[in-house]
Amino acid sequence: MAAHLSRRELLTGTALAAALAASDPRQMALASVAAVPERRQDRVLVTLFLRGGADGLSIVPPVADPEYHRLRPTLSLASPQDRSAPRAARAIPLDDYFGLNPALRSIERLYRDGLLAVLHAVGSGDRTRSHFEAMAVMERGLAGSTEGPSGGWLARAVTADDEGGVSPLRALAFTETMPDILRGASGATVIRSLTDFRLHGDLETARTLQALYGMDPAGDADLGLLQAGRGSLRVMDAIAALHPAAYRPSGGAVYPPGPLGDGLRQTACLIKGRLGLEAAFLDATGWDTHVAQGRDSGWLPARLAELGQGLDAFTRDLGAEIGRVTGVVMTEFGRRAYENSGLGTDHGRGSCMFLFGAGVAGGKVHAAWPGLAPGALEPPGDLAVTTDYRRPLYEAVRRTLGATAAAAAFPDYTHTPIGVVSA
Amino acid sequence: MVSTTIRRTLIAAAALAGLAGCAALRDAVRRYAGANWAPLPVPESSEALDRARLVLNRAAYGPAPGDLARALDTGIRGWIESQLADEGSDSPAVSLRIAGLETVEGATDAPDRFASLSDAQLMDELQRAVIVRAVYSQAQLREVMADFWTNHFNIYALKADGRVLLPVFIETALRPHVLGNFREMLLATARSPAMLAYLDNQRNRRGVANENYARELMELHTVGVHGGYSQSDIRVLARALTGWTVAEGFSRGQFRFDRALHDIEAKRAPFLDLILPPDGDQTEAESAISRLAEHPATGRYLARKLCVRFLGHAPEKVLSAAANAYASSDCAIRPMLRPILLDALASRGDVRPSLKRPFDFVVSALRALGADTDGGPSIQTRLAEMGQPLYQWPMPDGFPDRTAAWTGSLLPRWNFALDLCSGKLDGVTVRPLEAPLADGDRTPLRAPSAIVSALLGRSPDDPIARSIAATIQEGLQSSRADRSNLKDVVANTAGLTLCASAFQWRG
Repeated sequence: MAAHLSRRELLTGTALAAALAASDPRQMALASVAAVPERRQDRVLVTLFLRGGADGLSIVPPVADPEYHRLRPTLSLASPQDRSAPRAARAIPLDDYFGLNPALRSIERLYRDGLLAVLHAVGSGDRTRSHFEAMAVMERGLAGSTEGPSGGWLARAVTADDEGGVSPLRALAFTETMPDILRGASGATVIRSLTDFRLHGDLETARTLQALYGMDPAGDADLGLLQAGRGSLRVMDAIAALHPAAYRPSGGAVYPPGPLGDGLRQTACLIKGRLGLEAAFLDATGWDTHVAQGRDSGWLPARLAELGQGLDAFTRDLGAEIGRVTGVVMTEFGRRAYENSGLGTDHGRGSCMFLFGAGVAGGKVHAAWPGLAPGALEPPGDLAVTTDYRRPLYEAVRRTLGATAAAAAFPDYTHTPIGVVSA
Repeated sequence: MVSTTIRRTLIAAAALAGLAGCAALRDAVRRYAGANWAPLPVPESSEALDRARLVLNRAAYGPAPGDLARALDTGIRGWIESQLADEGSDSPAVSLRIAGLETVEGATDAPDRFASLSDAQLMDELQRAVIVRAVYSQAQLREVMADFWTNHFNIYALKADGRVLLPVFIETALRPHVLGNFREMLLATARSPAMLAYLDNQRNRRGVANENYARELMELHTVGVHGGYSQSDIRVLARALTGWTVAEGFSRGQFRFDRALHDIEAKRAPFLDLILPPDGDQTEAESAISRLAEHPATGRYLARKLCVRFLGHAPEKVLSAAANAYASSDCAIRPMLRPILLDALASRGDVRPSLKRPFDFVVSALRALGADTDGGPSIQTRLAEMGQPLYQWPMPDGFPDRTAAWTGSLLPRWNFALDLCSGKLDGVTVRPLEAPLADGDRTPLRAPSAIVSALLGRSPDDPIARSIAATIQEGLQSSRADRSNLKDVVANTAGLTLCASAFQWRG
């Protein structure tokens, strides 16, 4: 029966036996912290994916580009110096060319403190402008078409060096379903709520479940499912030891209500709990702004305010722990340079990307700006992609998970340094 | 099988029970409605049982008590044929439970009537209807296909007026066509306020057209992203769709073509072989949509998706047979299903593992137990915890149907199974499972094997059933629970069986 249990899984079994002998066998903690193997790394990569194609031209507007104002007569934000525009509609200055959407004012301090770097005209080679193709390309770490390895780049990164003890909490997704980006990472688990991540049964039930998921697999697919089940049981153990219900954010952090804030708060809780988290993935929807996206108020600014508040709370809550955390905020593509007749924008190409936290060359906009002049746009009218999205990601993975992980994450990619995250 | 007369009587009785709240009558119907739980029949060969179980797990939401026996009786091909024939009316067990749902009964072509209902009631009723139908309908294939098309034409209930518009969309644009003609279904979805609002076409007007719906119409609904169209074809289709909107005022909430918003310039869409002269109208997009339905790439795209749903992958031979059937039957759905179900699935040939989505898992568990449920909040919340809150997938591609998307969230499935079998879910009644056991099996020692076998639809000698039963037995031995209590042993066994990996597969 136990033929398929590896050494580290048996560790849990040992702890389980100890727990069985304990005075209160009804206690749900299957095993203690002792069962959580040693971490390989103490650095953490946090990836936040904005699904739907976030409008880079509104998030980081090129306010000094006259074409921007011409293409977006109702949606463009004014330059910070433009006294003729209402204050609310003026961008926050990032440098003498780019501004930050005023709805993101809460993270201006990260930029000024050098903890936040902004990239622009970033993207993949996907030209279908399909959400699902573009997301598949980006989550799988591919150049531009979905021909290629089917697993996710984050999965390859976290499993690149599988020797030694691996924490059951090394790769977690705070999402609805397992995202493609973590596809292929054995033991990766989807978590909606740390406090609810416990079994509704007694210790004997948990033991029997462990035995059921330690059975001989009925084929390759079943092997994967059994591994996932054992992974979930180990995650449950580890989280029980964390006492997540008692978690209180520090540093005056106030997370926004909703799944994004919840996910970030729980990620911070796990990072501070030092239980071996290496990669956390979060996503947020609502960025597919085809109609009435709003300039300085409305739908998009509300999404941005939530994002900004979340990042602000997360970095405050982490306090000194930010020194071992590097974060990425990315999206599958940007939006059309010109607005449509519904005061929204259709699918485009290049967008912006944020990197924050440890090792980041912050306080700077990194962009090989192609411009928005008619000849510079990619037909039918999109901001061209001048920076392969894998360039900054490679550096972020190298810093947090190591050089082997970075090479494994992006197999068909040769890195050209961009210097946005130091090794 | 119930005779038509009895069925009519029961439907009438159900309606009466719903109206008059007559408890006795309602109980009588309900007793009939929940089939009797029974031990598995011993089939002549394990191959026949394996085949029947596979088919019932893929073309139905898993076997309910007695289903395997009936399928073995008629022969599995006969069972598929009767499902394809799809008589059309809801089973009494369904009618009883959806009687009184305003979103089902009142879903004609005037969605505006639902604007006065609360969001909570709308979401609850929408989900109740789909759960109850999947659990209790005898027309199982129809419900599987309803789920398939609901995801194919996904609409997010929480965007704009989604909740208000969905009932009419489900009842009039989708359900009448789930086994019918794809072109008719496509046109019905295109004219539906729910789709026009969800994909922003209601705001698509001349000037700079809004591409959202036009893009997904080709990419997700018809030819597929590699179907051969260009970005320029998308823009032309978007222009043809300008003015397709949702009415305000007197006929609020209904489809309207607004000529004033329509782009009347000439258009050329090489991909659809369409040349549209100036001053066109609503018929421009109608012919474009018809051509999309008839496009060979659409046949292949749909056939591939259906193969993956029923076979776990798309073997070229079956895929092309299905696509050809679609092409030669003027976009009919049934002929497309025949090679997939009758040739490939029924023979258990080239079939690959496919994990139940949470909805399939929940419904199949309720069916396996012969449970009585109203599909209410206790089920709906659990589905959300498992990652499949019904009608709440924001992106237009529908809930993923890849195994890898769901393996990382087993814990909420286990909790559902354990709570279900220990009677902790409000609005769900699981009849005592020990009652129908054969006399010889009614001991704490013998019961687990019989329960495992019945719930998994596997013979007690099947290696997987044997090893699961042995593991559960072993657990019970070391348990502090009262091992002499048959009821506890049975409930515990049932819960763990539904947790096992074998029950997670559509297998």
